[in-house]
Amino acid sequence: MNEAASLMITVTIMTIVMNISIAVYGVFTRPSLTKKIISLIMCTDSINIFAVIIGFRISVRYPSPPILPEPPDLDDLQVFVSRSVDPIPQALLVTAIVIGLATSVFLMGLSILYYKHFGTTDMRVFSEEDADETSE
Amino acid sequence: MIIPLIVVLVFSFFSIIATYLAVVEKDLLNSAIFMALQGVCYTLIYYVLLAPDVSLAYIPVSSGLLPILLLVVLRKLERFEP
Amino acid sequence: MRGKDLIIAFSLASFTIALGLILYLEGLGPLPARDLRFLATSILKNIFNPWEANLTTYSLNAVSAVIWDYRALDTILETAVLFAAITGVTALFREFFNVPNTNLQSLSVVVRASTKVVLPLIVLVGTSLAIHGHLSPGGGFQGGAVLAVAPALLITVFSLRIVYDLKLKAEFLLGIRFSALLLIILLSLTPPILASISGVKGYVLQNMGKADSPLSMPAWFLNTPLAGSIFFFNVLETVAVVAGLTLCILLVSVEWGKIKNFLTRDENRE
Repeated sequence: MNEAASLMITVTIMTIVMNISIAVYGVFTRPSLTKKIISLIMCTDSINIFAVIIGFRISVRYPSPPILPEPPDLDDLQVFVSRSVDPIPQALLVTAIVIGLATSVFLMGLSILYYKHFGTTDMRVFSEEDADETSE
Repeated sequence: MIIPLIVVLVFSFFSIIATYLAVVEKDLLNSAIFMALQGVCYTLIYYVLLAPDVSLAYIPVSSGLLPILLLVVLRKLERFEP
Repeated sequence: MRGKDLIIAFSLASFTIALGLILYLEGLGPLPARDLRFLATSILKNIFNPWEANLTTYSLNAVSAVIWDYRALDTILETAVLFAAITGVTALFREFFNVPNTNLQSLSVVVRASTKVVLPLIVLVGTSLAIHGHLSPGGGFQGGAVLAVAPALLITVFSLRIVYDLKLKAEFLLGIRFSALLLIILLSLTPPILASISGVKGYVLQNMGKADSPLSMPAWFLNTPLAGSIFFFNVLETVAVVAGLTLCILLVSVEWGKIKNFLTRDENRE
């Protein structure tokens, strides 16, 4: 077992859990729409690191990235399979980053329309108006 | 395995500081800069965890395109948080 | 300190501690697995395996092979999701398809000179990442995103006048984006069309020849491996991403005075 790699994974997991909770706190508590968008982007990016941690390989002394340096023969293929990390979570992550970018771009376009209607980026105005309508 | 371990420890530490300062800050320009700083720290963590493709896809998105879009939108809306 | 704030802080803290404790005690399974899963082993064994011609892809980069060959349908749909978001932003700002004339000034001469040095380097790195996607870390989306930073920098430093001077229209960019997506779908439908013309069997999104279908995309290019349809998909995806993201930045950065007139005129009309 690789002691340094084990320490690295544990420290990274605790850091990411801390970052996720700070970003979720930011989405709930701060009243400005732009601050909510910033916190949502940070929360999405922090969750993406978990996928890379799932694919890591801890039982090998020197793991390698999932790329072949030159066209291999059969012995090179055996060494490569016994040492490399998992390529599937990394492929899913590229898709997740693109979809996060698409959502953020659309949210920024929508926040300009919110500013048109209410004249401010404060979300408390929206919730007060909603409460007035439902209480009547 | 000493240098990857030191890189992960130092940059995880910086990423927690950057995230907390980005959420608490009142001036939204500083908040966008802290978000870009957190993106740089995560890029290095992706590289040490042996994922070069993900790292190359994450650099322009988190440190180039999203802060530029955010700064352009900030100029049209309010700069200081109410 | 209100009661609501206290409850939120307490629940966040207990969520953090509980999740950390569960992960440490391996309640969700040993988090980096001890051995590689069977699916990953079989994919890594087959990405460049000339002795097993049914399952191979002749690409040296495992992540590109998984994205554009073994799970190609996911990637085509993800490109469609990005296209849907760009269409949404275009619909919100539909009045500014012809970018109006402005007289904004560009930034100071120091910034302009250093941008002129940095821009060719950005274009070079982006093109190299896009073309080399099947031999080294890189690929379609990576190269496209790096290349899209160049127009964003150009619009920020030289102000929107440069778009007006270069006579770049928003319809042109939207047309490029749409035709790149159409070409991706056509490339994925090419093997069945060719197969029905010449009377053999062909599958949708087929890369190399299989046991009952002798059609295959080109696999070697003057003794470097060219992974067939993966190379063409990378190039088309780069073009699509550059056009789409440039259009987004163009539409969002129109002057605030003109956007305000457009929005208030809409309100008076209602």
